[in-house]
Amino acid sequence: MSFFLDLLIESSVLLLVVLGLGIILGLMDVINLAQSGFMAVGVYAALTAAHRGVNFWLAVLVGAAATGVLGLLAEWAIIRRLYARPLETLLATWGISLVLVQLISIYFGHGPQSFDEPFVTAVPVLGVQYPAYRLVIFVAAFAVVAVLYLVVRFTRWGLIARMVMANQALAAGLGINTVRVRQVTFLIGSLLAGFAGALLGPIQGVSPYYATALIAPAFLAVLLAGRTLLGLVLASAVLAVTATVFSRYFNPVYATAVTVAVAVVLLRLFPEGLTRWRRS
Amino acid sequence: MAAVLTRLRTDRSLAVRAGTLLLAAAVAATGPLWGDRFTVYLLTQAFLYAALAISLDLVWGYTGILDLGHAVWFGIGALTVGVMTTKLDATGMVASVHGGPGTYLLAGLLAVVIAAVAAAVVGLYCFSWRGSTMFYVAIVTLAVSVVCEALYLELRWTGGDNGLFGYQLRALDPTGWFYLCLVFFAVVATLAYVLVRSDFGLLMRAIRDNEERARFLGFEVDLVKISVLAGGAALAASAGAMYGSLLGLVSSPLFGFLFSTEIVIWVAIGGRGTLFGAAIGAIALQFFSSSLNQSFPDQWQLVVGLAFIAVVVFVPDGIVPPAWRLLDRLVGRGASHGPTRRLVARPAAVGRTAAGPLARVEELLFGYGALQVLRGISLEVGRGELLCVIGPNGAGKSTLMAVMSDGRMRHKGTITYSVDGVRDHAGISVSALARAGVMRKFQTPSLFRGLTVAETILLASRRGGYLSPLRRTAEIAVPAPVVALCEATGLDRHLGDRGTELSHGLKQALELAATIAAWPDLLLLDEPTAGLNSHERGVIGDILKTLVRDHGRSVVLIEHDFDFVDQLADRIVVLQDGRILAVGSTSEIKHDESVRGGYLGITGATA
Repeated sequence: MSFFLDLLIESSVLLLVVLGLGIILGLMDVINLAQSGFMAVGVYAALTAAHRGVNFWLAVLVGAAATGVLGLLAEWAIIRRLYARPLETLLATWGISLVLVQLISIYFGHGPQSFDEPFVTAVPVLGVQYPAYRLVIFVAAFAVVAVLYLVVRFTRWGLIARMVMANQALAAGLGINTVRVRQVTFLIGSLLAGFAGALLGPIQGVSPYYATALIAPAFLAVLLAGRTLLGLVLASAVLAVTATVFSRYFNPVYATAVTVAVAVVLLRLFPEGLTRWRRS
Repeated sequence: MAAVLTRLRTDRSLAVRAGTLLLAAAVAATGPLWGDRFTVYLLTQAFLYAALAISLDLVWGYTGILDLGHAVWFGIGALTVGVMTTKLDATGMVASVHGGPGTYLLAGLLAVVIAAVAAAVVGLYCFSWRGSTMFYVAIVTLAVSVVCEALYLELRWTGGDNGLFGYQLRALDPTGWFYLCLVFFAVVATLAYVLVRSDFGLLMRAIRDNEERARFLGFEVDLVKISVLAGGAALAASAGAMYGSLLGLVSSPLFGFLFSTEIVIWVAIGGRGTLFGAAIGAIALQFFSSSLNQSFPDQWQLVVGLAFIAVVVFVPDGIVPPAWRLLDRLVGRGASHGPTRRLVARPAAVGRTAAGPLARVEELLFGYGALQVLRGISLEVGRGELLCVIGPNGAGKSTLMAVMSDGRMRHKGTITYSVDGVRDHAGISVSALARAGVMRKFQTPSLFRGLTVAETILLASRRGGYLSPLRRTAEIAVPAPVVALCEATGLDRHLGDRGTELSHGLKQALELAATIAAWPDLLLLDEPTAGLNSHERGVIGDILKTLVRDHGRSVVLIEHDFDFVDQLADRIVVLQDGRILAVGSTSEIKHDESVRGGYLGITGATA
């Protein structure tokens, strides 16, 4: 039972990382390699706030907000100038990540930092004692998905987002301010990255190179998701479950390689994303 | 030799560049005379990094494949040498080193083969299916890099955490190594230079600029991309093998994503697609970072990161091309362009006189999703016939051409050709059809950003055939109508200009010239005169007549201007709502009541 919970949590961890990436790719056609840098900023901002005595949950929000501001700046100064050259945004966002990691190294040092969980208790779930904080990750991931779903499905903003995804030129022609849409998209993506970074801090071990290990599976998951929320959830679950099951029952050494291999095969089978069967 | 000297005298821009290169080469070659031990050691390594950067420049800068795992191929080189020259003890540490220069050489060759095969497999996966975007190869190579780095740490035979070490080839002293690496770099750079100037180099740039168009010219784009990736990997592995033999060291970061992106940064900052920029970027950044890394490691990395972003956003060509231009302005006044290629007419093969139609379309049905565009079209195109397709917008004219030129668009009904190598067109790719002699010209010009007019025509004239990776064709042999077209439209005065910088009329002329240069049996021309004035139309009309009457080519032409059609067409097909409304000679069509009412909008007495 506790293994089942592990699977859920690992999927939620990957999902949290993937959400920001997926939104930015889906609406902007930008693969945001700055994600790991943004997550690092989120966790260091939260850490700094927490060390100053700010309540843990408030500190997580501080982390998200700091990353959001940074995302707005990056969009305005860099990303906006590269809309016509999508492959270049890959390079520029990687540059942003490098710069952020170096800035963090300069101010905080290279060493790992400790970020304490707000509670270390275990709670009984489905007949087993399970660390409460890990459950929080699960709840948070699915709360974010639920909010995003409701926004996309039922609000005016969601409608605009779906329009831009379907046909950007047409949306612009109908008077949608696509520049503003991109700006807000990148802001939301960054907020989510910061939120994920801060929230995962206590269980991931904080350092400037934070979350780089999650980046390869995260990008594969985004490609695999095929631009729907359900796809993001499915892809995160498939990859996280593969990694966890394989390392538990077979061989932890090859878990990363097997996960990537599974992703690579699935990408071939579902070129349009997991939620759509291959066009025959 | 004399010719070279003359060119250097008349072309100051070239002279300045050659002088700069010679100066740089002289400074580098005399390194052991002016530098201390540490400098010589840094330069020796930097030459290998420069060779590595050039290998990435071929793959990314010239062919447009963003390889974010290029370090893996380099790592394979260093690791193969390490594995073949060391023995591990029970704890996985290096216990002894063995092997003479022969072992190192063999290991190097083996590494080249392993890397080329591995890269070909990655390329096969990334390129060989439709719908793979440019992001794909970037993310997949990134993933390969991350996995290799992780696996390296876990495996035993790689030395795990410690890596393999102490296996440097001791047969050479530092000065010997310096010159060996310099020569290695010079060989790699020369090979790369010959390649990018060759006819094959043109194809690499064409694929980078407009992959789809290259397919329609008959080239097997996926195969070319796979070969370039494999070739780049082989070069990188040879540099890696040299690196391993020089330092006697390999560990997991050599395979990693961070090192991969470092190579990308060298090439981007120096200037992608210039070779020289990639080499200079690698040498300079490597040299400075080794000196500065000790005192200010984080600050230096920060500066590199900021410079990288700035280059990507503001100077996407990198530092070197603007620097060349500056040099030209300072000293190279009156700079001429290099020798441009010329067109020469060659006797063109006359169409075969076999009986029967060249193309036959039967009961063709095609739709995009729920929208049915072609609803049962049957027509024939005879040899040496000019068939005009007219009809209102949305009738399915362009879609008909799209399906005829691409056997992989799913349709119902049959299309058969009687050209070399292809009969039933179902399942035949665009490039195979083009090679067989069915070629399409798009409605809107779709050219190669980095290619000149002459280069575009040269590529097209090969129709997907062999392009030498060594030779640079200066005289382009094309069928006489191409020369006539170029002269009549004034395109011949722009042979050295880039296709995408021409006026609209010249772009259309170039598209048509390229299509004719390929000398297909069947030309599918989608509004070749769109946006042209009446003089230009007349010129194109005459050329098309010559093609059909004198050379036995067959042409299917989509046109809106009925007067133009009236002068040219052997037969006319009128399409409406995906069906054929009428077929016949111009006079038959003009008198056809349904056409007159439905399309031409003429009522009453005939002219």
